[in-house]
Amino acid sequence: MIYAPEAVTLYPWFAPTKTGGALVITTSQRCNGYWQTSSQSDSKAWTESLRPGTYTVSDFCATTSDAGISHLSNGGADLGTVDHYAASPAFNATKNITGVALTSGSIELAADTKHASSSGYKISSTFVRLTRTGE
Amino acid sequence: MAIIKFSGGYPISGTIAAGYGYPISGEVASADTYLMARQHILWPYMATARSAEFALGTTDAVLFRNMMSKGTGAAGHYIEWDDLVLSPGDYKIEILGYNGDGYGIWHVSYDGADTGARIDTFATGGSAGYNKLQSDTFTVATKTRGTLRMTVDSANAGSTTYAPTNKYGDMVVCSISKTSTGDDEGESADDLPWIVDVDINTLSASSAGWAYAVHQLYYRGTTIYSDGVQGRWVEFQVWLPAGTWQLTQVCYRSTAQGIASITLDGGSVVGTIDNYGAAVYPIKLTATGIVVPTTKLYTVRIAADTKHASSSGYGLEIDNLEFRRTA
Repeated sequence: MIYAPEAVTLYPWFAPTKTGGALVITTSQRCNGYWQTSSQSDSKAWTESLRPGTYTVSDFCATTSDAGISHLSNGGADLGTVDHYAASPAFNATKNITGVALTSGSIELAADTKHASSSGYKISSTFVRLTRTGE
Repeated sequence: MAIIKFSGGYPISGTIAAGYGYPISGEVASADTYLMARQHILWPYMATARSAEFALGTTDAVLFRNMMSKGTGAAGHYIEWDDLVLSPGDYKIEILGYNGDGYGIWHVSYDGADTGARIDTFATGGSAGYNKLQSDTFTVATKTRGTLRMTVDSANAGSTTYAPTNKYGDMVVCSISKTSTGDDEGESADDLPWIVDVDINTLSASSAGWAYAVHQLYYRGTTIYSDGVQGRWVEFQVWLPAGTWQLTQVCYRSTAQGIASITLDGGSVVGTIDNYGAAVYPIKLTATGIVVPTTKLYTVRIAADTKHASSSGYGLEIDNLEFRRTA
């Protein structure tokens, strides 16, 4: 049996590895703000101990009309995406990727692509939550 | 890799890899693997101890809410968290906090020893403001459950304002993260985290009657509050290592609040927190002796099922929850 965290909250500004980004303070977003990256392929990565299994990855974010799509990886190929685009911007959005197989190692999110209607690659994220849902 | 150890009374001794299935018996140390956390997020308001100079900030627009030393005394303003379990390796500290003229240098100690790591928060001009600041890397030689202390203990030579101390300190939140690879395996549940933070924004389910409110003066920037009707509940998915825990609720206490009943996975009530009393915000209220039988992911429910006889309602207004292991 592997005993390791099964629910982890990852804060973008404390990601050990990241490119681009700055804090944005606004009381429209719970926690008073988020970490915002702007350029294509801007990324953030954490190295985590995790119990292997199937996870839901939840990005608590603000959606915008100039937002990119975050690509999730765990030391290899893309495992899923989070589209941060919305024609009508919204604060306090939760975007989920479900049924993702994760194990200990690098958890990376990179704004590699964007919605066809989006005018940019912004990612505005307050935190990312990993929650184990099955084997 | 997990190792089965055997010795004593047998014509052989030594170690073999788990799973070989040898037809022998003996003392099995453990076939389990305990992976220790590589990053710990530490909140100054939830610190085990801090010197009297520190108080919650009241004016600045900042992520979450800051905790600031008034800088009225000599050097040595500190914030510390105990029961921080670290595996061997290299680490760095990062803080979100204010840097500016008059702000001092944080010194990092762990398990009673100065690590040599520093965070200089002196800045001038456009560099001043709320920023993420990081320390030098330092090494933890052996696995330790110790106390991390952050002390504003000196000042940059260029610091000029707030004389004579020049050692203001400001911290919103602190991270300690491992920068080297490997050596993450512990030996038992004792090596798993002793502090588990529950951000109320990670709510997994709730009854009707709850709403969020955002304000920079709410601890962590957000509160979730009920409409005061009996039976309102919220649930969170929380991973807890086996042990005995206390649950601290950062909240608003008033004469209209109920009693928070805590259950794990739909079981019987494992603890209660009475939110009734003279109005105080924020306040930390705690339930102790919560026995967690096995290490796993739990559904933690907080429900306002009962109330103090003198309370006028069953309200709850919660900013944050933190589990801390006591045994």
